[in-house]
Amino acid sequence: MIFQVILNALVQTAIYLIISLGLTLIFGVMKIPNLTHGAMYALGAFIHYSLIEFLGLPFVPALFIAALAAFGGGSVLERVFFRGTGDSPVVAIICGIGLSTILINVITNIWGAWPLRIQTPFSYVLKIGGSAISLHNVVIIIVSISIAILLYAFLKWTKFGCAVRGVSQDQEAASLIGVNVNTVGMITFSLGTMLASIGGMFTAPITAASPGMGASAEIMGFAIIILGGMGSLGGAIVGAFLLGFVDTFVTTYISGGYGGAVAFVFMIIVILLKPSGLFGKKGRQI
Amino acid sequence: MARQEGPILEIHDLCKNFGGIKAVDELSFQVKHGEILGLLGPNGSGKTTIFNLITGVYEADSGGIRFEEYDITNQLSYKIALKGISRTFQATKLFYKQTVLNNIVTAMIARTRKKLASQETFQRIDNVLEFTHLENVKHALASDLTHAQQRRLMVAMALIEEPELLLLDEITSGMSGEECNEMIEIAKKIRDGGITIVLIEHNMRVAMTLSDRILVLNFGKKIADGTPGEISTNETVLEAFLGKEE
Amino acid sequence: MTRILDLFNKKITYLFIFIAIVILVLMLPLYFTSAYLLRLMVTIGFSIITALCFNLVIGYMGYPSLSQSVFYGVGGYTMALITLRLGVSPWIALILSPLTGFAIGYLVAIPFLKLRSMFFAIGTLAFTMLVNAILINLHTITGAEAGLRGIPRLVKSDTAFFYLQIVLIILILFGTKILVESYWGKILVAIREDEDLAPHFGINTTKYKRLTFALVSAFTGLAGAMFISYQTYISSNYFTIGSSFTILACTVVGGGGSLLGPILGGLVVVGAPELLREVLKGMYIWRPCFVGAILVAVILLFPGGIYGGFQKLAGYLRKWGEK
Repeated sequence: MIFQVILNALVQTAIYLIISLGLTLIFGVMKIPNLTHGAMYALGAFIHYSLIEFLGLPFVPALFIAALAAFGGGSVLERVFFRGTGDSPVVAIICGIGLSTILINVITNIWGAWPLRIQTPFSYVLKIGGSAISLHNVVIIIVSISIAILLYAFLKWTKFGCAVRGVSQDQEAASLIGVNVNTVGMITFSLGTMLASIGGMFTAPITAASPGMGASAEIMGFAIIILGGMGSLGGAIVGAFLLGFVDTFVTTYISGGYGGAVAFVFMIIVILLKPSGLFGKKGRQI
Repeated sequence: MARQEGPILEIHDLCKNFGGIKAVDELSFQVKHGEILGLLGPNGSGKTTIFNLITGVYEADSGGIRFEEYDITNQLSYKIALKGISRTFQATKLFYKQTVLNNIVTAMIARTRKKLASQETFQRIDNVLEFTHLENVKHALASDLTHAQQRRLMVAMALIEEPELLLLDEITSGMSGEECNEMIEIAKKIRDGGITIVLIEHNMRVAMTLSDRILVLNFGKKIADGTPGEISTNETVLEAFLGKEE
Repeated sequence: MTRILDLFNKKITYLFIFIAIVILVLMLPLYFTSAYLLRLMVTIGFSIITALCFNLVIGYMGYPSLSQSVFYGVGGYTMALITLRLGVSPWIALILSPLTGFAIGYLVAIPFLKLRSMFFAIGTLAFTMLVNAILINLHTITGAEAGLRGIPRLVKSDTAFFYLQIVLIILILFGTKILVESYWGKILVAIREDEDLAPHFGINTTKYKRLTFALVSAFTGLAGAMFISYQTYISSNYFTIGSSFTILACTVVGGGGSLLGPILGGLVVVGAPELLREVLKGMYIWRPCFVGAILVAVILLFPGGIYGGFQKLAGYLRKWGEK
């Protein structure tokens, strides 16, 4: 029985990881909390849905296209709205809240407020011992691990990845050695947004797609990165595990509604005691 | 204000570490009423840290600070200010978006609440502006002032509540020779008005001209204590750093 | 033309304009008697009241709190629970609501005001969601989302509520004006501009931050109590992060840090979309978009809000008049 709960927790952790990696990436580089993350998480799921329903595309190709669309959307958001807000994160927060409201309203008007069911091609259910896990969930775990590894490799071994790390450590110094900070910011933001959308696309078949689906995902994302240290990828991984397991165990054994509440409590405690998180120094990455 | 027996400020065995670096290392010294004490030393010798410890910005690791009859070690900044210690800052700190007048009013509201709009208050403000040569820019925004004017505004704000002890942290930093002379005259008048001054200076000319007594620090420790004349020929001091002369 | 501009230099002119506007506003319910319009005016009234309170914390003190709906809820649940469980008159609940608001506001202030800017915003955001989650889960006490019904009204008609609000708005306006123009206001501005510098001039920033926050929470609670009495129904849905957002939008769009800004903001953010509803029939579903768009435009392009815009305009007119 407990093994089932652990499996569920792993899936939850995987989803949280995808969301929080994007969020912490954006914060590490641009120094702003991205409050459009949840809306793009939702938008990704809905665009994915439309590609499947109306263009008849299969799940995976549609996912790639929707992810690219989210990447483009992120670029627009960064270029038009968030550029230059790094100096005043409060402006970025208010801006993010406004944009999020707009995006969710657009989603509601185009797709309707009722939850949409999305079919996953990975519906086979694996049995391990006395527990069950759907192939879809296994895919989620594999995808999230891959993303984490790819991100790590990208940041550590590619030239652009170095530029990203440089900007996250010291924007001015990076620009002095020739890094185009604006481009780095835009690509990072787009990448983070794309990750959010992927998170939404994988979650939608489990929980159905609704316009407000991003809200709890986003706030959990923030809880995770605050716990783990805003801007720290390793911290995001630890935080995702911590909250993924706590959330699942509380929801299973204590009460359905309190899972999220516990995350908030953790988050508030961390913010009050050590805002830089368990592993973070302001703006440091890997 | 009657001249008093005993020191106005007494530091004993003060220690402050920053992650293994001893910024202030068992430092002890006294400041006499009505004197101008110069604090000199190479960069990083702990001078500003001492000011921060006195004004409650940092907490001391050990040791004590006495101001008059009060023990002000690790007290809250606002309480220390209310007891009669004012300071200026190494990097100019002002309310930049406010006018000069508003800056001074803000500096005095903690104690002059009730009579804020009285004639007496207006007179005090005008006096301090005149004293620091800022009467012409009374309604200008602090951000629009020249660098030297901004430094003098910090002094004005420190003076408005008539402190007993004034801490000046490299007040002449960034000033031209003439502006330094202006500042020297102002400082002399402050001391003549009965206010004790401790000043941190990198400008040797200013330090030597103004100080009655000089304390030289290095690596958080006191290495010399004497008149300007004695200090300028002290070998340990000369070894510690080649002083900058204007 | 110069004569007219001269008039604006005299304070008494503003007093006359103010009284004239108040009289006009008081006469509104006589002309706009439709139930829908009355309800709209009352709704705008509540937005204005909460925005006026919030303005003190974000506009003057510089602390972007996203937890206003929590205190709105404290007042609301005070009203609901006291009248329903204890069977007491809503007026007593109304008087108690600012007390509960103040107490809880002060308790919340102690830990949260240690945070700065971004972390304060995120911390209060998390706090709001935590409180909302707790409210939803304690359904035996709070009725959660389904809510509690049958809360008595302070006064019977919408019109009477409207007048009650006008009284409260005028009280808060004048209270804020007195506070802001006194030493307290200067302390708030000092905290907003450079919180680390202020203590060096003897200012006890901690005390004033907490008191201001608690005071604002008290009046927000009062507004919440009034609101719930008006609705006669309470649900945890009223106190989500979305309501905090509306209050934020009203204050920011109207112009933070100014006395009249929140009033203008309330009119624009809540009122305008409703009034345009008739004009742009099918467009009503885009209302949140509209509010979001205005908020983004204002925060990025016109930080002074509507009031700031007026000030600039007045500045131009003055310069033009001097020529």
